Amino acid sequence: MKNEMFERDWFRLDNAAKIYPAARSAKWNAVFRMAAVLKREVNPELLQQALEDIIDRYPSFRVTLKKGFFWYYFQYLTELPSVSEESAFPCSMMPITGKDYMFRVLYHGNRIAVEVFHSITDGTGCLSFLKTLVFRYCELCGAQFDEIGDILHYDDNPVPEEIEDSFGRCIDRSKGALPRTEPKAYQIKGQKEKRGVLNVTHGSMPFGQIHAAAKRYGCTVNTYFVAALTLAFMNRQQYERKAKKLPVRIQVPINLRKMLGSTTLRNFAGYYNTTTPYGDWKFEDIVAELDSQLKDNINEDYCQRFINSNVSLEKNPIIRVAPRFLKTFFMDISFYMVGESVMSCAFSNIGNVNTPEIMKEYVDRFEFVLGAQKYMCNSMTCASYNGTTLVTFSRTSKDPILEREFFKILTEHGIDVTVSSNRR
Amino acid sequence: MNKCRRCGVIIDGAAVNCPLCGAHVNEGNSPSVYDYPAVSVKTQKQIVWQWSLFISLLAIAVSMVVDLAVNKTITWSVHVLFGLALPWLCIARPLLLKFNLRKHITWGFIGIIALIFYLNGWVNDFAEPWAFWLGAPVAVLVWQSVLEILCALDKSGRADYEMALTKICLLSLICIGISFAWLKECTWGWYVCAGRAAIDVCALCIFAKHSYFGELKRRLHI
Repeated sequence: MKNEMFERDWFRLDNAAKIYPAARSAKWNAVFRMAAVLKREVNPELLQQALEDIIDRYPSFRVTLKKGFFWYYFQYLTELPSVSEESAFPCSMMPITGKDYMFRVLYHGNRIAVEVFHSITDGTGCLSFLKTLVFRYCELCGAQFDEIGDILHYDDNPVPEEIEDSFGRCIDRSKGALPRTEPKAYQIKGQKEKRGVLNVTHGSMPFGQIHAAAKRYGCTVNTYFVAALTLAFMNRQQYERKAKKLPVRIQVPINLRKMLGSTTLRNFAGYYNTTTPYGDWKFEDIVAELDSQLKDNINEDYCQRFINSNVSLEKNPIIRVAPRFLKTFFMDISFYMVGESVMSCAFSNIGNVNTPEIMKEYVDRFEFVLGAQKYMCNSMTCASYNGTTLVTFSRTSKDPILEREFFKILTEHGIDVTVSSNRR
Repeated sequence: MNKCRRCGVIIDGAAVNCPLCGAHVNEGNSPSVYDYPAVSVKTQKQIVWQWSLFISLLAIAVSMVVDLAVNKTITWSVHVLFGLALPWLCIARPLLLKFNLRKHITWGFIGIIALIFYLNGWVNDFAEPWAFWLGAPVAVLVWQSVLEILCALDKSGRADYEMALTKICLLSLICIGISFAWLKECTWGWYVCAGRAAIDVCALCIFAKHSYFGELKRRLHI
């Protein structure tokens, strides 16, 4: 496939990227963060040097978002990005000015954080960028690497497959599409924080303990976490005295690259919503239910139908000729109707972060934080590194209801959880 | 590390309360490497303050435009300017922002000096600039006296008062310069102010040498 980026200084947004600029508002846009906590304090000069060295390896990051008549589009930027000291809440608003980068590299103490507007990339792409950045930073600090594992080397040239729109390539209409409508799910509604405030709670635990607990229940670590999260919602709903009890639906992102063979660094993720009807569930029953849901449904056929249902809308001739403001209006409505109101919480697990052994001498842990959601109050992520699993909750409400219930379940299972938060 | 008895989790870093249940844990440890920067959240008062400033500025701008368009002067719009700016500066601002005695006094005196100038303009249109050669120096002298008293009494805020006295010294010197440039002469009022402020600063240099210079360096980012 011929890639547009090497011929023009602008390129189109991929299918998943289109919803985020449309759904943004004056108060919200979709930003997430990946961070590496080093064992020593970050040197800003070296970090700036590292960023300048790697930026050309990631051409899909070297862009700004501009408004076209029919769609938003990415415009290539010539000026270099710069690092800045962290001074706001994590994943704070990233305004679309048409001039600035749609990502930022922040440092504070020992932490290097990359915050990205979701249109640029998904978790996999951002993690790849962060790993290359930290790798180059470690090199500038004097580290000697014999092997680099799956890290993309900053001296290599980007290949077209890394910046392709894989949604467009993988569409196969013969497989059909997914049904779009789902009933509403239970959500925890607490007292809202002030605008711009994001409360982040990290829970760190030994990976061995989590793995053993998951094995005890006969499931994967991912399923174990989804089950604990579902039970936390169930427990909370039992406590609330609402007559109408709703199902708990957790959105689990799927990395489509593995399923459909892609190496793109742009968005290429789908999701599956696990649904657990309200009831008096035991933990092992929830595990069995979710395990069968996840095993039976997440397969190549599901991913293909997921892509078809998303891309077919974009390719609709009536939608294509509609001006951007009309598309924005309807996409915003659909984001509410089929997006956040039908799920209780998003749970994104990037799994075990692999780095060369030598990097473990420099890096303490990797963090993954989802920014504020537009309608939901809570989201949860997970990242494991060097034998430690880090679960991160982000919320826009004041009271940490969900994380309290969740960590209570984990401690009851005998897991040692160490908690920290960005609020004092 | 501390353990929360209620939640059963270990608390990382210097937190004295459990992030999950808010329960007090025995003692804070040293700051953690996982700490985030402290970010202040806008309070309701700050939002009200910003909106009051915006509305005041808008009203002043609109009145000036209308006054200029209709009367070709800014006669009555100056009244609007002072009518809005003075209460906002001297009353609303110190009350709506975090209360700070030194700032409150500073803004109070700025307001008084502005009022003296306003009255001078209103009475004789600055034909006789008594606000500059008499009114303002007297206000500054009173302001200086208040700061000196507070400097002696309030030990915790002494650094702030010392810096305020230094600023008054600079202000007096600037006003002497303006006097020569504007009136081609300088009146005794500003000489008294400058002399007294210079005595204050010299006293600070002699008796509070280390703390004074340390604070000065810190504020000037030297």
